[in-house]
Amino acid sequence: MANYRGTLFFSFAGPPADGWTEKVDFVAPDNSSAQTIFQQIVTARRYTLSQSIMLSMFKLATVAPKLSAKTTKYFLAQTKIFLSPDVQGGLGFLSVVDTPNAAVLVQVQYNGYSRVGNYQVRGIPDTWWDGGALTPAAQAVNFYFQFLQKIPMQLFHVNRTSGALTIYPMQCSHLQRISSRRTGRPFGQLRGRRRKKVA
Amino acid sequence: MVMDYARSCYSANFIFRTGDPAIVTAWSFADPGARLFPYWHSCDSKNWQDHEYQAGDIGEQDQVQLWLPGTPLSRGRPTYNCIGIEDWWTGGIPIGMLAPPVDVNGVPLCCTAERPCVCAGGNLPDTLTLTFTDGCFATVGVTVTLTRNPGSCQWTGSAELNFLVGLFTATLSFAGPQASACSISFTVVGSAGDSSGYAVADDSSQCSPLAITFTDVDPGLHVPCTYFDIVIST
Repeated sequence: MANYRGTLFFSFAGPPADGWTEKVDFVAPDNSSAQTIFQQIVTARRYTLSQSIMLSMFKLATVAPKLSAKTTKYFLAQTKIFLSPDVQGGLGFLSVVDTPNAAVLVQVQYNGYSRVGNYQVRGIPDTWWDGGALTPAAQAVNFYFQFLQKIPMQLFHVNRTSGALTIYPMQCSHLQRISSRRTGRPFGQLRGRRRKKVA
Repeated sequence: MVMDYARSCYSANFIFRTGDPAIVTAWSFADPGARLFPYWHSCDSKNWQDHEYQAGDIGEQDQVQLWLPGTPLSRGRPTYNCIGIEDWWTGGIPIGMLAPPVDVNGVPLCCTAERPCVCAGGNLPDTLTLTFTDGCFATVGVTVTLTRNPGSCQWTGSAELNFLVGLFTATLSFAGPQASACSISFTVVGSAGDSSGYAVADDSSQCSPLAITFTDVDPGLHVPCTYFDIVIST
């Protein structure tokens, strides 16, 4: 089994135009199988997106993690890129026109509450704010992470004591909170103005 | 051809063969509509990758050397010709492999030439001769030599033909070898740099001899002593 890293490129026509990427690590026996799994990831992700946001480009790479270092860096071996038609990407499936300024923070975990990774899932509709967990978006995100758990998605974790990098399969996920941002501001900035630049 | 997605272009060191010194290589933006590189490869952009390097790595090696505007290549467009050996793109050029022939810019011919000719036979010569067999008196007997880069599907040549203003018809015969079942298109561009006003009919169903008829359907557009650029593509 080899490690693969899939990169999904999201684009929003605007205004204002916006875009971001997400990465998913997983294992597969060969390139062909990895491509099939990647396709399934893309499809599952589209169900969490509003129809104004597009999954337009994709990149799949084989990675060789550097297990002995105090870092999550990896050796990148091979890459293949795809456009939307190649892996049937495209606009989101949720029939909501939206801007990508809301995100849900998801913790992905191995073995209970240890080895936690955080994901900001962008592109979810604002209707989640009002409708809560019963909205299609919330259910789709839940399904998406259940699907990633089934693959399973790989979590890169550096042991702070030994410094060794270990890769864990994702075993559970928790939706923590929804956050929003002003255009151009990062997620996670709670409120207020941008920080002043320090000369 | 699209090798990777990147926001900005830059130059960086690349290694294309294990043991070779790194070569400064520049990223350029692809033309709109460019096709994706169809195979797995090691020549991706590692600028945004959380990546480390190890001995024997093929492809981009280290940090950005210089940020560049990414102007599309001016010395020809990459085509599919260099992808014939997939393993080279992931494992590098084999040790001992001689460098391929290059053009005056140092670019391998296989990278700048068009897709190899795939019409029947596939072994058409690099030089073809077109002979005018009909038309105005000044055109009869004129021959035009068309050449191509090795492996290219396109032969080009030009001729100065002393056509008179007015309706005319000329027929060109294709003097190349038999190459049945190939499809050939023919382009004529007048001295003004436009091809409007010329109706070109080609008999692509029988490639040898190829009979091409073009008619000046709007002679008011054209002047005597028209200079033609002639392109034949398979």
